[in-house]
Amino acid sequence: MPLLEGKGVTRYFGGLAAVQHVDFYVDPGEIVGLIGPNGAGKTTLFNLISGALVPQSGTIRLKGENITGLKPHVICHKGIARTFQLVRVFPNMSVLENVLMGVLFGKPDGYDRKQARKDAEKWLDFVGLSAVKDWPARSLTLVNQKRLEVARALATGPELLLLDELMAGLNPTEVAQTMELVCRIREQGITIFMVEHVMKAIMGICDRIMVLHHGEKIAEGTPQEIANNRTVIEVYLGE
Amino acid sequence: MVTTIIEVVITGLLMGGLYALIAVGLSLQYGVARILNISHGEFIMLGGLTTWSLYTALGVNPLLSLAICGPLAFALGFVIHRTLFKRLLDTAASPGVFESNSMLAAFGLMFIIQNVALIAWGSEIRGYSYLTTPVHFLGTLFGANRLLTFGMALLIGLVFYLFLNLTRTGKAIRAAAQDPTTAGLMGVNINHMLALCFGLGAAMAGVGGVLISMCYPVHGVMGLEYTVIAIIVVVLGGLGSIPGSFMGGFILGLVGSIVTFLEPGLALVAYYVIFILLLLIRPTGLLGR
Amino acid sequence: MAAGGWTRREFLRGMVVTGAGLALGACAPKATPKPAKDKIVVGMSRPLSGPLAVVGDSAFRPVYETFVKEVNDAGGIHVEEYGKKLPIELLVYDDKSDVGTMTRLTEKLILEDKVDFLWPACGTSFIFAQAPLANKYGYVLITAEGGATTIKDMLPSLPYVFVTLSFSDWYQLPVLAQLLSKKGAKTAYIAYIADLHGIEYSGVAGIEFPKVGIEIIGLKSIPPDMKDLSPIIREAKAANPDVFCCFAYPDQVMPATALSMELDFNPKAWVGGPCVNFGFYQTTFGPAAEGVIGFTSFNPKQSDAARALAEKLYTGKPKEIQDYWGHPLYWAGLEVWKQAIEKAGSLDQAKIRDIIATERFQTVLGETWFEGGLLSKDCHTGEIGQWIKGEYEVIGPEKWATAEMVYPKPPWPKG
Repeated sequence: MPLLEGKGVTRYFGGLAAVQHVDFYVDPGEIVGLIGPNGAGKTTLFNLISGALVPQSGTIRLKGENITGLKPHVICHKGIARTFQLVRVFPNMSVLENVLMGVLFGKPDGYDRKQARKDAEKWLDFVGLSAVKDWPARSLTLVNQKRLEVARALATGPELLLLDELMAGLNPTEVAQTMELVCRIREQGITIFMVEHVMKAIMGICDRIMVLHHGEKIAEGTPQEIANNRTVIEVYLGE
Repeated sequence: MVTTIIEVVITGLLMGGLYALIAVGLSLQYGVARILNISHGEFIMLGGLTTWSLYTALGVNPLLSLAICGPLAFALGFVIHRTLFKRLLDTAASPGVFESNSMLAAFGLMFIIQNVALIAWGSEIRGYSYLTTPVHFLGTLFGANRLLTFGMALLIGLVFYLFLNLTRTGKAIRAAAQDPTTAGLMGVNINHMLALCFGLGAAMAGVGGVLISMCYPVHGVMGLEYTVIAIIVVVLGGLGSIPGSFMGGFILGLVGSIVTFLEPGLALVAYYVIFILLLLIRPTGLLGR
Repeated sequence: MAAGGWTRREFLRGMVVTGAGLALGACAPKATPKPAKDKIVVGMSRPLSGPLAVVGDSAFRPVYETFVKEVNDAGGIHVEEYGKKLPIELLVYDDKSDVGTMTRLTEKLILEDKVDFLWPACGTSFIFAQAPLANKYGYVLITAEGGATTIKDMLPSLPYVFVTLSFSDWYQLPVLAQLLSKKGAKTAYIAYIADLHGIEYSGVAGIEFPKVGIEIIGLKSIPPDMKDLSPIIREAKAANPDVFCCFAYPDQVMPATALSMELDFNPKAWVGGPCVNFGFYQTTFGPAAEGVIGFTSFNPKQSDAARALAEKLYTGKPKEIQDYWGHPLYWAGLEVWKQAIEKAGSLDQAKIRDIIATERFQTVLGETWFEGGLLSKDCHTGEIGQWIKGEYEVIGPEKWATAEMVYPKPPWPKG
């Protein structure tokens, strides 16, 4: 059984289909890439999975359980976490407090104050931000804010992590470091579904890639298959 | 001369403590729940009149009323958010639409609460005298009730500050104030948090009303003037910034006291001048983003 | 030539017939009975909500409600031209304490609802706006809450308007000045609300006090929205006057009282504007109200009629609603209105106006009449009151006093 499975997922804005009859699945332990030109519906699909938006038709299942239309915090509790294309850390909280939010609220049950702090520090260490844990989040550089988002998402204890353009705006060194981070996350047993524009990154680490265009899925396969897919090349290079 | 300065400053701080408290309440409601609660002052009025009734009819000490009115106002605010504002939130097409709809609804709420109060308490001015004894303080005199009121406002502010920074729920409120969507995705039950904030804001207003009634007469239509002051303070401190609102309250109290000392007729003018200057020069307020 | 064809007899006969016809025609309205009328509709625009509701609900409202009930329980007012008693029916609109709304509602009452009578709106500035309207449409208007020296000047041009309430120079402050100077007061500090009311009272005091040798050593206006009056009380205390006057409304007189206690400011006389005269002042401050001076117009001890009115208005009700200044004057105004209708035997406004303007009536105040549109000051059964042993006594003018003025006032109670 796939970890995450969508069938006929559709969402319109006004009369325009942002995501149309998309079927997808993510198996446990995979890194799945989601690519497509701007406006293809990638972020909308993430919003539908994470509960920020509700699909007009279709179903989304997590480990076989229907999670379509559940509230964001419930979906989070069920084990899906995400980061954002444009970083959305809590700017006036410290770095540590940002991660604590994930620890404290990621699971519905109670928590132990000391343990929560330890967990948060563990995740900060994992993404390499221990040195700046008391800084206000707004004072971090972009790459560090992105790392903080990852740590905060990990702190909610997800089985599936949605990464929305994690590499965008980073320099080549930072991209390499971040790719390494993604691999280490998978080693923690966490499945990854990522939207990415940086082709080098996506080709290098994904097991499987899905291509969206105008809200529809036009291709799916290994990086090698996608790189040679005629339709995909046309979409990216223009007809 | 020195005595006069001390008097003016302390008078301003005493007033500022009350302003700060009620502004923090409004700040919670606007900063987190995105409701510009025009009926904020009505909760102050309810707190004041309830305290008056408890004191005159049953002899309940106004300090004890704090513990009665706070939770009652909280429950009222919580339920109102869960019923009225939750529904507006669900049906609003965008945050902007919600902000304007909720403000209009709050206007309606103001009339409803006001008229219920007029039915329950009538329109007479209600007052009682509590601790109206002079206290010598820094070489000058102050009413014991005013010093007590100030102490309570500070204490409540401090407790609330600790609550926001040290507790799980407090962190969720701060997160929701900064980015409600992300907070939701981090597992914070946003609807619950918004209702909680609205309720807490109402509780601050209720408690503020209790304190106000210790020093000033209260009546059914007193609410709006305090709402206006609270709005000015919140803008002064920065929308959504709770420390800002607290600071703004003291600044406004001080300015009011200094201007009143120079020319009593200009106190309210000074408030509005501050308001306009802020909007022109620093619309984000002192501590706003 | 036209008349040439008629004989003188024919002409005369024609004249008689025509004359009779005209006469008959002219008499017709009298001959046919008036259209059936089974009630007197009285219209009012009142502040049922908004800031003035505080005043309206405790001042004129209990008076007119009690009055209407009493009249209707007795079957109504006997009106000769209908040959029967007509009960009063009230038509009250809420003007939300807004002058503009009040004037629109007043015109609606007159033009659309065609009420038989107009009773007054609440507040001096409202009377200023309503009086010319009533006068324009020829409606008798006996006012309640409100009165001012400035309206006195307008009254000659407003024959339909009659003012009942006593005010600053009619004849409160001259009496207050006399009382204070007799007790030896030399200095006064005056704080007044910065509106028509406060300016008028401080102005009149500024004339009357020096006349009797009381020097005004401080004069400070209070903005209507001022919350914390402590700078003013501190300044007054520093000036150390014999007399402190606070010519403002309850929302400022109440905190001014509390602040005087808090700051231990205890002048020999503490005088407050419209607030001290209400029962709630005493229920709020209890023993601290002792010796505080305000305005008044009667005390139940003065006469059986006064006692009866107090019982009618206040029995079984909380002390807070008592108003010894306005209530008897408003009641007298309504009594004059009723008696004038009975004397006129008609609901004709002009007739009733003439009767009110010229005749004398027996009311709770005793013999009552209007002079130039103002209730004669000789009809006032008191001007200045003081809380003495928990009672609001009349202390001046001496003719009507029910108690001797306490001067200096006792210290504020401790604790």
